Amino acid sequence: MKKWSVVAFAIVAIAVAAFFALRVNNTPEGTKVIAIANLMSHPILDTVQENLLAELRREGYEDGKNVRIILRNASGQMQVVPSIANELVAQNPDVIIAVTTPVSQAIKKVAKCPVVFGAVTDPIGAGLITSFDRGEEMITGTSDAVPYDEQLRLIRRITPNAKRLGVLFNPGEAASQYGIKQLRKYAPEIGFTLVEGPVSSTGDVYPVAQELSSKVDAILISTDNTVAAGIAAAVKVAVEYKIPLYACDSGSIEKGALAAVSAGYAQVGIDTGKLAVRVLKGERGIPAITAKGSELYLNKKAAEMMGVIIPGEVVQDATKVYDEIKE
Amino acid sequence: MLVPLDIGLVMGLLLAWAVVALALAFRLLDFPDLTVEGSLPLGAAVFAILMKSGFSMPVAIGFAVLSGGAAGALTGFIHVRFKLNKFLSGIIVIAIAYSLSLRIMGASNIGLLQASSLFDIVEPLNNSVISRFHLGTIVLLVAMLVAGSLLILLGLSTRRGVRLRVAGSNPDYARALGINVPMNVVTGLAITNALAAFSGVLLSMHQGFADISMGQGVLILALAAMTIGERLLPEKHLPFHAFVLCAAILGSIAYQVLVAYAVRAGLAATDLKLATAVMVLLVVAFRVSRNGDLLAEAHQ
Repeated sequence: MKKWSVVAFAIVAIAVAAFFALRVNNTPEGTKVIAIANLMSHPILDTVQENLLAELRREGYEDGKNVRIILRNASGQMQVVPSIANELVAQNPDVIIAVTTPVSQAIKKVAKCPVVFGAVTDPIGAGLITSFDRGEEMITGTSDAVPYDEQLRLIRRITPNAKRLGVLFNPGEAASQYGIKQLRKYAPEIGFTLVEGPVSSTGDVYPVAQELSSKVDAILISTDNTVAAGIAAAVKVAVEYKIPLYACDSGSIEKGALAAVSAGYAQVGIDTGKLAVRVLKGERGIPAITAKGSELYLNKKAAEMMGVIIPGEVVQDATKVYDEIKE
Repeated sequence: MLVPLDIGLVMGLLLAWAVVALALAFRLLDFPDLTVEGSLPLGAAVFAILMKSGFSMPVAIGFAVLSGGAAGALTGFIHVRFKLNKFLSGIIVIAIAYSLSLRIMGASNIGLLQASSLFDIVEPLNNSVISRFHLGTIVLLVAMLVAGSLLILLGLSTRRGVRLRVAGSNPDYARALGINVPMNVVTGLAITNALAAFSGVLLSMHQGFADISMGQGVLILALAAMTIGERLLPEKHLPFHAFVLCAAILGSIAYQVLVAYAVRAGLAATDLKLATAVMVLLVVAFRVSRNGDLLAEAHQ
């Protein structure tokens, strides 16, 4: 009887294989193949992928017409990522576009064709590239790192007299580690003295923010999941002590920080698409870029409660202005 | 159409250690051990940071495997010392291992693209024999698994190994024989989780990075693989412990081949999990129709 199960299993396996074998469309000779690998489906990554595909369409690369686009998504399962990487490489695409850090690493490990990564916060730290200045033969891409220099300039524009800037961050998070290094680099250039307020859990946010408020003229939250979860506590302190509270992402602005410059993920997708097009046209050695799509978010209600008057020209530049603090 | 077969084989062999770990704990120690979800990424984290810090590969692998073993021992210890439920002991250690991995790595992800790996040795083989098959990688992984399996089987056949099996299958009888049951639980889990950590090491070598979320889903995957393996392998001709081991390896490969074909089909993110679940069910259905009882009970 056991034989039956093995035989049946084999039949199913063969049937499945045959089904997929028949599905492989034989693209005409000379058709370019573009492979896109993504880690999971959530609003940010979907935005990146949609804009990337839209950019390819604008440049005349449309699936089924003159190119074949293979989309793969690991649906958030890390163990499927290497399978997807190997599977795409086996299809001999002309370029592989990899979205997110782990997917880009897995693709780079096995790729035989040019790779364009997208939405990788720290491509140097991830081992994908060695510098942003020099291009590499087989890999380029976009970083979605927060433009910390622009963030500091925004703080300068809104509160010109601020000298000491407190930073709330969790040193245990990759993005925050990257962020604090960037801030240490740019703060002296733009005339701020950094006062670091490390937190290790959401519960630390309130006491650490309180501690900072006695020493600084403004507080900045780096892109940090720990602090983002405890942002209500930081807002409470900022309102209480009339200290302007800045952030680096639009979500925090909605919840009561007063201003942020954030890389728009739509732009990350578009820039990634642009790079892919250049690679498809035969260009090599393109330096990787940080997405320049800086969007400006403001919260008028928060500014009012923290005793800050936002200058008119800043309001004019804003992508979106919130009038409420969302609890 | 052999590409997914190749990919599935490699992934199945990489993850086989984790499936074996779960199966041994489940079937031989009668301990539904959730710890693999924590010990696998912990092994990867320790390996990655040691490689990044310039230690040699054998040292990095050694410490990674030890760290997994420590996690398993902790689960066993919490269970026998504090009389905490087996599931809860595992869950607590998963949480500890997660924070510990983050702390050890100092980041959520470490790239190992430039680091050396075991697979460097067989790279020439991969590009020569059969164009599409990663023959070198497969041969190396099979060799390691065969060696590891023989060691495990030998170990289980020694006096100590037999005591371990008795302590797992019939604790009361074991106590009557004067076997130290708690000690055996701790030792057994330490060994199985060391294997799971080794899976984490191999995975991070193969994919070129270690990531904090590597463990998520391993438990479900290992359970599914174990189930498939036990349904595919005829159990009559093997002693039970050998059957458990071989079924785990076979199941791991079969499951990963299924996943690779599902990936090849280009399913949307939403459907990939459903497809693998349906395939697992198909395999399982063939055996349930024959006899409804679980294998573990059939062997008492």
